[in-house]
This record gives sequence, C-alpha cells and structure tokens, in this order.
Amino acid sequence: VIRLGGYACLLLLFIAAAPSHAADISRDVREGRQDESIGSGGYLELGIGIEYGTLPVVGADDISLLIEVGGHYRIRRFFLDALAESYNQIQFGFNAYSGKTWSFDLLAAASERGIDSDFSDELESLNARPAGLNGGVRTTGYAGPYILQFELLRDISNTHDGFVFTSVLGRQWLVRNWNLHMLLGARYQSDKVIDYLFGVDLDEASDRFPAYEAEGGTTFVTEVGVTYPVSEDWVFRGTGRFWALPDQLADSPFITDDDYISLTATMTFVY
Amino acid sequence: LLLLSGWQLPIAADTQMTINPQRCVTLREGQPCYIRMKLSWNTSEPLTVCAYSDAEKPLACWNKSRGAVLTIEQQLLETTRFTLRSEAGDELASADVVFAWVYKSRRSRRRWRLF
Repeated sequence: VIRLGGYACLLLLFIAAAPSHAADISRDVREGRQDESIGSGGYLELGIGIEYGTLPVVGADDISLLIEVGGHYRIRRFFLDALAESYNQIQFGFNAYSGKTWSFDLLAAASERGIDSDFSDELESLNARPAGLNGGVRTTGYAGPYILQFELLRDISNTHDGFVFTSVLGRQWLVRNWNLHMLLGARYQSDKVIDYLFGVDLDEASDRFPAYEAEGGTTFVTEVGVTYPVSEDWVFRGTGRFWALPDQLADSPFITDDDYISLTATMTFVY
Repeated sequence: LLLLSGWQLPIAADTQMTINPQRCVTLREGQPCYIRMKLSWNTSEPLTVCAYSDAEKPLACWNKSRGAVLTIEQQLLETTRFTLRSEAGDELASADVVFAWVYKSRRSRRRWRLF
C-alpha cells in the first residue's frame, strides 16, 4: 500500500518534459529509453552468468549457471523484445503513442516462466506449467531518472485464462560510468494465474503433493542493480532482488516460503 | 586511422604525445563518460608547453621540460582532442580520446542478421 501511494505522488512529476522513447522497464532502467519514433534497428544480447537464489520451490538449487539470449529489435513502431530479467520473457508489440513523457504499447507476451521439473527433480510427478501467451496494454512514463510503468495482460492462449496487472517504479543513478538502478514493483495475479502456477489439481495430486487450490494475490518485488560498460560490446550486470509473495502461496505443497532473494551477475555480449 | 585510434599525432617533428586509455565507453548515447587517463609527452629539446583538452583553459603547464606524465580525470560528452601547445600557442602534438557507447539508439538494418 505504501508503494502504491508513492507511485501516485510521483505521477505529479510526470507532467515535466523528458526524453523520447519506451520498452520493458527492466530494460529501460538499465539501458535508457528505447527510441520507437525512429526507423528499424536493434541489438542482440548473449549473456553468461551465475545466480544465487533462495527460490522457495521444493528441491530447487541455490546456485544456477545462466545462459541468456535476448535482444531488442524494432521495425518502425513494431518491436520484439527478449529479456531474461523481465517477467515478460519474450514480447512482441506495437507502440501506439510515444510522447515526451508517456508511451503507450499494445503487447503480446510470453510471460511467467512457468513451473516444471527444471526447477527441481521433485516436481517430476506434477504436470508442467508452461508459460502462457498474454495480450494486453502497457503505459510507461518518464521523468528524468524516474520510470513508471503499468501493464495489464490477459491470457490469450487458453493456458489459464487469468490476468496480471503490474505497476513498477524505477529510478536510475549514474556514478562515474556505473549505472545503478532500483525497481519497486507490485504484480497482482488473478486466481486463475496463481492457481495454474501454484495449485495442485486432483489429477496430479499425491501424498507428497496433495490437491491445493490457490487464490489470486499480489507479489511485491524490490530490485537493485548495476550495469557497467566493460567495452563497446560487453556489459556487466549485477542484480539483487527480493520477492514478497502472496502469503497464502506458502500453503502450496511445493512452495516452501512466501519470500525469497536472488543475486545475479552476468557478462553480456551486445551485437 | 591514427585519428580514429586515438594514437598520437606528431605535429612538431620530435614531440610525441600519447594518451591511455584512448576510448571512453558509456552505456548509452547521451550519458557523460567518466575517464581517468594518463597523458605523457616527450621531446628532444627542453620546451615550455601546456596540455589542453578542447577547453581553452590548460590542464597543466611545464617550464623547459623534455617530457612529463599527467594523470587526468574528466567527464567527456563527445570525442575529445587533447593537445600540447608551445608558449606561442603552436600545436606541437595531439591525441584523441574516442567517445563510444554500447546501446546505440539507431543501427543500420544491415548489421542485424539473426532476426
């Protein structure tokens, strides 16, 4: 509630003029606003890294090796974006409006990463929950070092038929050539999304994982990160995140806690 | 090619000036680029000279010296030329520090081959 109140106050700042561009806030807060008013262009990113996380999934590893493929490409106002750090892993969209302060996008996105036995061998007895394809809208506001983004996505692939509403506030700092950022986000996921991901259906229930029906709820995310240009082609990224999951998620048979942290370091080649 | 690489550009026959590093890389276009660099120069005869960046105010001056090493910290906004000038204002040597960034706001379509 406090975070949402802060967002409302910051809306006043967005009356001021700002530079001109927009994309997923996880990308913009590191790389700056993408200029969607110009012609075609983009870049490909290949990254390798390591992550330490206390992912509250039974049997999940604490340390993971990361291999990330991403990029951002634009043909006029259409864009394709792939970013492992974002909730929207792959997104395709159309920038309907790009003003000095606000940008408005129509989106199709493969969002939540889903849950399957890649997280933990102990989940092999459960049905995999692959990511669905969502469609929706997104608006982004820019005021100096602040970025505010609202996004409403709904399942368009008959995966869970749920919807997700996300609001995220970002702030950038430049210290010498180190780009520091912070994100404060709140994501509401409807009953159907949460139940799809964290519920246990009767057909997959067992003594180990008894049937469980989850309700919708809000996840709060706090992220701090650093991005450093090692050269014209290589970028170092360090990220720390804290997730506060909906309290009732800890009742899911394969979820062990209602919050967790992750620390990530990657080296990314930008082509 | 010498200009692009930021290497020394000898104007006076025996005056050499080098700057290291020769590139300053920032994350995106429009950001100032912080650089800590070493400017060194030498010559065969003692000279009274001053080192300049694009600004008119000298970074440092030396009186009847054959050479020196100067450590400079600057925030660059563009490719910047550093020069060594005599008392009379003649340019004896120069070197460029190239300003570059990772995420270009516009790239030609030809560079994109995978999508």
